Amino acid sequence: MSNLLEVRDLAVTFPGHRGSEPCAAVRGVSLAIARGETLGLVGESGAGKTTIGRAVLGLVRPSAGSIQFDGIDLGSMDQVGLQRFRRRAQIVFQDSMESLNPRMRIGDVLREVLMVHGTPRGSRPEEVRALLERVGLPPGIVELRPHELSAGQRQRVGIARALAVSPELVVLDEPVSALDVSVRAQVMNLLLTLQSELALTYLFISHDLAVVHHMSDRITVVHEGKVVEEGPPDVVLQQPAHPYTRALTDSALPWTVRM
Amino acid sequence: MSSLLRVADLTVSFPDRHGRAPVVQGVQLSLEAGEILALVGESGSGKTVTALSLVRLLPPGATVAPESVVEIGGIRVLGPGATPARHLRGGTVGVVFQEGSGALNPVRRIGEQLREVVVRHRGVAGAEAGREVVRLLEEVGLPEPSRVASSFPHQLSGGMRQRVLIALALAGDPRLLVADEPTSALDARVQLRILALIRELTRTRGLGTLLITHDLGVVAHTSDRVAVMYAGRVLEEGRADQLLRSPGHPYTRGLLAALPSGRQRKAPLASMPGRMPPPGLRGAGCVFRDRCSQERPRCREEPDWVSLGETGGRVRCWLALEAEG
Repeated sequence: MSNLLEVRDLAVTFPGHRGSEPCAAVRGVSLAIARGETLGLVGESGAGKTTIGRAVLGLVRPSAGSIQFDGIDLGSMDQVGLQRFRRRAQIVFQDSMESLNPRMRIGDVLREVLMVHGTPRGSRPEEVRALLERVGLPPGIVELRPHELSAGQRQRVGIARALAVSPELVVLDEPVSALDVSVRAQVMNLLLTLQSELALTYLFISHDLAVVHHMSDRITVVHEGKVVEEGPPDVVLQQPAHPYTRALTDSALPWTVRM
Repeated sequence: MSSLLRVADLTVSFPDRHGRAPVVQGVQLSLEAGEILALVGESGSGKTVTALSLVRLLPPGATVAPESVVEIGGIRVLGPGATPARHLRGGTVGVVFQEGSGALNPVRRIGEQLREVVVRHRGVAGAEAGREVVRLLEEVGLPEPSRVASSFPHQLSGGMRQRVLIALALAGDPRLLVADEPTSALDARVQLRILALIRELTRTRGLGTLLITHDLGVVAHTSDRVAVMYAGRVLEEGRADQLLRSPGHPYTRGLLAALPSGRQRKAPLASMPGRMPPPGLRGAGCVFRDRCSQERPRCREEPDWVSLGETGGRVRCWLALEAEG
């Protein structure tokens, strides 16, 4: 199986604030995701998970290392290349309240994405309807604004927005962490269904070991900007080799990981 | 012996488009000293409103129904004949909110913020108040308490700030501790330590602790008893180990089934259809019946409490009555 995404020796350093030391958020991370696969990225807050996810999408500039998407180096892409890349790689954020414009109706949110990526005006309403159906939302929701939706519905809108450009890779940054248990199960099921129907490749970022274990084909554990362990979910989370992974699995509460 | 906390028929409503809608309805709870009761529920279940009504911190617009009763240590603080409880909040009841919720003043030193509560509720001052501040910081497991006292909130880690919030709640020497999602903002390893601290303080101080959480893992790990809230009502309560091992209400069963089990990766999770009805759209009868796979005609009537065996567990569901025969 070919790798859709290959990250080699990635480093990201943020400049220090007002003369303080620069912050090395990611310090030499390598990972690869095969087409149609889910790679789970776990670690505590501050471990560098989110920065890795953003670097993969070209949203933060690496200070070293390379990111290859479908064999093309992100650093070598020109404006046109980047625009094309952004149709192939999308992101879903944790907090759909903050990632959706509160003044825009849901229909406008989706139409805007379609417009930016060149869907002809005439076919946009039909596309919006199809997207909403795909993520299990009623068509009437186009008239509503984000605050009129439940958290679960908003997250479905976030997913629909990512799918609007028919991406191949979706970075899911804590996509179910803000959701209640019963809604969380619905959204996890939706993500699994979409993956198999649309042959999506996922980078699934989460601090929740039980969720990552359920969603992933392989798991990478990051700590202080470095990969400490990598492998199949059952091996990494049930027989962790690295002391840090062991500390994480030992701290997981019952019913958070029930294995 | 009367319970440390007794809540009966608590009904709280908020204004909505059509008048007033109950957000908490007919809630009954009891809690003994030295015990941790988890109030568990999804967002919108009414768990936080229940907690806020214990300390009279309900937002403006909230109305408490006249039959609602709250008694703490045998003293009626809410309901007919309630005594005005000036010493209630911060005194009899300590409250811990979620870390990062703005409960600490960012521009004042930790020690000053603690001292204020100590002076107000303990009637001590000067050097004695200072010693008490250090002692409290020590009690919540903070190393170098004097250094912490002279720090500003941003100089501490999230876990340390949460310990400070617990120290603040203890400063008035409370009998009841209300902790609302005290570890939800923390990493797993820090969460475990904070939960251990809450358990230890409950035992050593003989506190009654009401732990508000949406996390069943926290419930299983920390609490002695659980009350499960849904759409403003308590649907089930019982001993934590018992309730999580053999849940009696279809809603509790659904919640537990919706968690990834670690066995069948990438398989569909059992998910309850639909969502919790918002206040105002919770018609007569069982509030869960729209989502229940075992709905009966009888569920259009409000179910009574049904006791489950001898463990003290009980459930508000007609099916349990049928099962009893």
